[in-house]
Amino acid sequence: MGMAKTEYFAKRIKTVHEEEGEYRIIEIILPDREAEPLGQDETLEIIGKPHTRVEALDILTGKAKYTGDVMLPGMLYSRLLRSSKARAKITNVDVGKAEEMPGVKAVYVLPKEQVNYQGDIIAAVAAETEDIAEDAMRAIEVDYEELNHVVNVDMAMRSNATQIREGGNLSRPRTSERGSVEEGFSQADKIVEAEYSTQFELHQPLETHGQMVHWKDDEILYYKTTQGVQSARDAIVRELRREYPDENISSNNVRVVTNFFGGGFGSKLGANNFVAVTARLSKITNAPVKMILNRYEESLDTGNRPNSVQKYKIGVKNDGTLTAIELEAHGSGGISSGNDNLTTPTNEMYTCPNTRTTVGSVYINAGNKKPTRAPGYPQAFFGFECLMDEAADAIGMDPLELRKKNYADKSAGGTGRPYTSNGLMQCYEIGAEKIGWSRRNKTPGSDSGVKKRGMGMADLQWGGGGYAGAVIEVDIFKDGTVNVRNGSQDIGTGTKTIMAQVAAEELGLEIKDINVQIGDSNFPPGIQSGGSNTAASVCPAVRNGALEALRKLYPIVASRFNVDPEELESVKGRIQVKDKENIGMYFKEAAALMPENKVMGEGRRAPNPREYAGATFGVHFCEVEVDTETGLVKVLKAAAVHDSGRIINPLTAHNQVVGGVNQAVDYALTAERIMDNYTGCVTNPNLLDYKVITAMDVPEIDVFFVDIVDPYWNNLGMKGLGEPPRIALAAAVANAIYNATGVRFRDIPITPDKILEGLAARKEGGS
Amino acid sequence: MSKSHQKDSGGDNGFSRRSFLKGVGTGVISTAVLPGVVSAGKYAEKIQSPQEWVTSDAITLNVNGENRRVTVESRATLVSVLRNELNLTGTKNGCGTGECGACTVLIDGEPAYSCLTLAMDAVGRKIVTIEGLAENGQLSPVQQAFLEYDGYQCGYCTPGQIMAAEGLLAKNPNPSTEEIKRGMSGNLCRCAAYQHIFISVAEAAKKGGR
Amino acid sequence: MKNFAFVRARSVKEAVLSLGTDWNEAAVMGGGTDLIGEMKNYVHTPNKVVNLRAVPDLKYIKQDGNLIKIGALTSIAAVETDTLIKSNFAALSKAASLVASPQLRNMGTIAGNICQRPRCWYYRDSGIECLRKGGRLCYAMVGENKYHAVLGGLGCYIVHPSDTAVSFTAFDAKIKIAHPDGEKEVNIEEFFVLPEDDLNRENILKPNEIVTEISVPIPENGTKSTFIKVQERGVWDFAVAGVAVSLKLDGNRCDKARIVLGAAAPIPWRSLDAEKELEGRTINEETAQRAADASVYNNMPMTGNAYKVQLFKNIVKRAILELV
Repeated sequence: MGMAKTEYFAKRIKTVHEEEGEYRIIEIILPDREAEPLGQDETLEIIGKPHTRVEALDILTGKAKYTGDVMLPGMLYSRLLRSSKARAKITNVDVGKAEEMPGVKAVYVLPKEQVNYQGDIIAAVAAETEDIAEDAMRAIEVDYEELNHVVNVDMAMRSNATQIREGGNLSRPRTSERGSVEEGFSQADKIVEAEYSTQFELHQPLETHGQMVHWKDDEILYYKTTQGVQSARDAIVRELRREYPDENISSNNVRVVTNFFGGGFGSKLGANNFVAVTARLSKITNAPVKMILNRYEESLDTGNRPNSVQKYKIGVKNDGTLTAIELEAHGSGGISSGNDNLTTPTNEMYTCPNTRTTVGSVYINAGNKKPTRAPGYPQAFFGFECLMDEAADAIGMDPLELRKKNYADKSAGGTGRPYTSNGLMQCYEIGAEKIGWSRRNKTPGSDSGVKKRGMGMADLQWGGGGYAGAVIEVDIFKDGTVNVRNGSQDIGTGTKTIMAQVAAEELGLEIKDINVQIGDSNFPPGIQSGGSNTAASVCPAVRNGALEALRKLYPIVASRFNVDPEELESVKGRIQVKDKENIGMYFKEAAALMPENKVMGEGRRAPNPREYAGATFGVHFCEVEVDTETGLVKVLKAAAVHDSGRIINPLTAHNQVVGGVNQAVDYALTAERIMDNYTGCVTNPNLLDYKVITAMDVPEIDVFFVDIVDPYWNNLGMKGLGEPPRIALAAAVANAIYNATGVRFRDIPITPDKILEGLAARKEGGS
Repeated sequence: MSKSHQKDSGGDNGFSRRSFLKGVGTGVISTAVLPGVVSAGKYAEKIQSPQEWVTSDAITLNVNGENRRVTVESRATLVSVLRNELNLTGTKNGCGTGECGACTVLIDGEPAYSCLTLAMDAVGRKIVTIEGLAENGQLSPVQQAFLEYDGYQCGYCTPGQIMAAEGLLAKNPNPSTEEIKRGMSGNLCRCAAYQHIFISVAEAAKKGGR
Repeated sequence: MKNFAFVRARSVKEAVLSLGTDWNEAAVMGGGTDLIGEMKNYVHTPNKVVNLRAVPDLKYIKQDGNLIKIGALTSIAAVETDTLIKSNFAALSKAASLVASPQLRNMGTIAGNICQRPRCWYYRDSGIECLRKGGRLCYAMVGENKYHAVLGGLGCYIVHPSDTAVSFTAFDAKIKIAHPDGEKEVNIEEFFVLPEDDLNRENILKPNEIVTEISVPIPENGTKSTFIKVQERGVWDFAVAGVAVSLKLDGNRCDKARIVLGAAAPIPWRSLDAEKELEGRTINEETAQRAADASVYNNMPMTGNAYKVQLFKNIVKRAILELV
């Protein structure tokens, strides 16, 4: 490998590609030449050092244009009329009054005979102002013929339940098996069985979903809140072609732009169900049309994290060896098909030869699921990591020791390919020390007093090592400035900044010399920002792109000094013979000598090594205080320790972990979509009753990254960090509450009513 | 369990979704507020005539030190006028009902939600938005601290957070950690970068706040 | 939000004359934080909004003899930080400090706070015609009712959402009300009404009446008070349970007690039974417990809110013991 090799080989290979938990075979193009991997002890100038965000000034002064901030001349505003019923036939839609209103430019009724959840789209209007659009939307009269609905998962599963779709409310469960659980359980000294459940979670980004669409002649331009400008573009092309079979709609005349993006957490992946209707209004009115959802719509119809019910059975020997794990689970994606993947902790987290998982899904009359920061994992890790705690309790072992005992250095519970790296052991050491694990109650519930403290911990694992597919264009201009372009986007994680860091490092320049351009579907192939994949997909390709650009610049310098281009390097703003500062010239001088006004490097990323498995790991510890009189739980402190390979920007990485941990606090304690069985409506489609974490609820958080550069995964030794911080804490909190009170809470969010009822039941039970 | 109640209010009393249709017409536009009142009796006569009601008006708002004249409907909220009429899109609309804080601006020096403030009700008061902080390209100490300590992620709540911090430090230049948390507790950050926000505010205070 | 006529009242008289006699016709706006929310949700769609900002002399906290008088338009933040209130009415100051968020305390007025409409999620959903809005059914009775009333809810099971009203009740505040023919003053306990008396309103105000002042008698020497609010989030949440306790103490002996529960009932719920358990007795663990148990006497929990009964007992006891 490395710089010495000069042969160019562009070839294609087939590889496995993971996206949103789904695997598919894709064909990818290998990079022409792969940059030499940066190892553990590499001395780096910019990578690995904290750097403030390159887009900071725009954000901090209010200049940043998020989708809703874009104003186009002559634009109209659109509102959507949504079903107030959970399930009903639509017998008539009268738009007469709406159309007559002054300022109303178009009213469109979707060809839909039935609505299947509260918030289902029925019609759309476009008008001169937001308020007129709202008035017109409300002036549309809909006649419903109400049908029986089911919004409760337990009720949907009953044999006498109203079947809300053809094929019934239940999908056929998927079972997978490794080894023999029967044999495993027969070897166990203790068998623990427990059932856990988790709530429906809403993403609730502060920027609601929206788009501005301008269909002008043959060009269709979308400003859109999306986590994937190109995947959205592809979805839009598909959808619009279906709606307009006679129009010329293709990838080269649909453009999607996301300059600034106000949070998505998965809900803004792909296209949305409103994607085509705004385009239709734009076509009808021949004007740009802006459509921004309000909070009510955001809460009802932009996705959610499915609930889950997980029944576990785990076999463990007295020395802590896991012998078998069985999981039977279900969850609901609302009206959409499928449930999240709930099997990873059972099948992957620890060494265990025998596992069986059966996961089904249930349909109810509620909005679709969408990937939600680590789809499936916070649910599954809540159940499973509480189960580990209960198993440790059953054999009288320290829960931390039980986990160490079952450390897996290979995937598939120790039966598959070796991991490229697994820093869990270091995570355990650091985390235990930072939280003061030795201080915890040796006997759960032994803390005296009204406010009881306790500690808990939980492990996490996620993929998120990125994949091949991104192509980076690195342009060096004649004036020595650099553009780095790619069809990815920054969803708030700091993607732009780390791309600039990697480019600057490789080019021997400063971050200020680099202009990163992303968020436009017309840019070179990018990565949709989901699954913690963006950083580790894009950054290795940035390196290759920078090197490729340099290789086009080097011959100009080499001929001046009569040396081989391969002898050159670009460091500290100079292009020079390696280790010979006096033979060379400034980068800007070299650029000025270019015959054309820029050179372009094209960088790809090598596929992940097939002989290894790659994963990110981490451990979350926390200390809680339970007020046994009010039922309030306060997370006092958390220690979050992560193995995500090389950290490119410790400042934004720290922030990312803090945010994930905080979000997990509301998942554990307060946030839950609540539905009313009778009306079929969501009772809390707002940010008051849907209780996300506030400034007053955040714990003190210690964030640590183990110092491991992944040796094989990619040329930077980096892995993902978006989802991991969101996965483990809810289980750690529940385990800490158990440690504090001696009462096990198996259903999140653990709200005061549950705490008080749980404590009362224990008192009555006399235990 | 439930005792049946005596009163039967008899269904639709005007709270239905469609009741707005019965509302007053919006066609009457006056450019002045109600005329001066001589006596209550006279006033009462006037106000009972819907034709005299002001549903739209030309008003002057003082935003970032400048007087801006706009014609708005009564229902126009401050956030909507800032964004749609004055093109000050730094102020965000996250929920519309005072549940997220993204629309926070300073009104007469105090942090307030511009989504729950009618533009007409902001007349005669001094409004400062995120666009009014930096002077000649020089960030305010709060903005500078948010930059240095990464007091944000996606940045959408950030203008509101910064305005809340400006208001807090104007009143309390040396807040304790707990006072910072409390002072910033009317602004959600869904990316949940709270600890970075707190540090940013603390550092801004050290450097003299505003 | 439906458009409306915006009326800038310049006097109390103008305001009440502008309001008229139909709830659906006109609404009064102080800080507007509750009203605009209702209007944006189409729960309330008045044709006219009478704004009080230009009305002079409604913003004050002042001592007048034995009374502390608070003008209706005084911000909740001002009540929270005022030293007269802090020194005389700790439970009020604390309740104000726990209202909503800093911005809402800056914007919201004290009269608006005690007059805010219920937060019941069925009430706040414009698509649902519940009993309080003139419909035929209380949806909470058969639905999601974990935050609903355990006391005093006959027919309608809202809880009164105001924190400060709970403390005002513990201090025997009086509410001054202006109406077209003049003004009147009522005891706060006469101000709030139960569903059995009026299914549609939480207080006695008529459409053309507004609160102009809240006056609170300075407590006798030896009086101490506190307020506890249990909210699921650390801030910006309505109470799951609240309590204001004011005790006149002679040593640990209680001469006079006021115990008022918040988020328990459709009105701030003064618990005479609990007060009786304390008056004339020495406050200790046992008497506090007896008062706590008595505070929820006659409770009628629903399917999802039985936990609140124990919760009220716990915080009543805690609040009482905090004062000795």
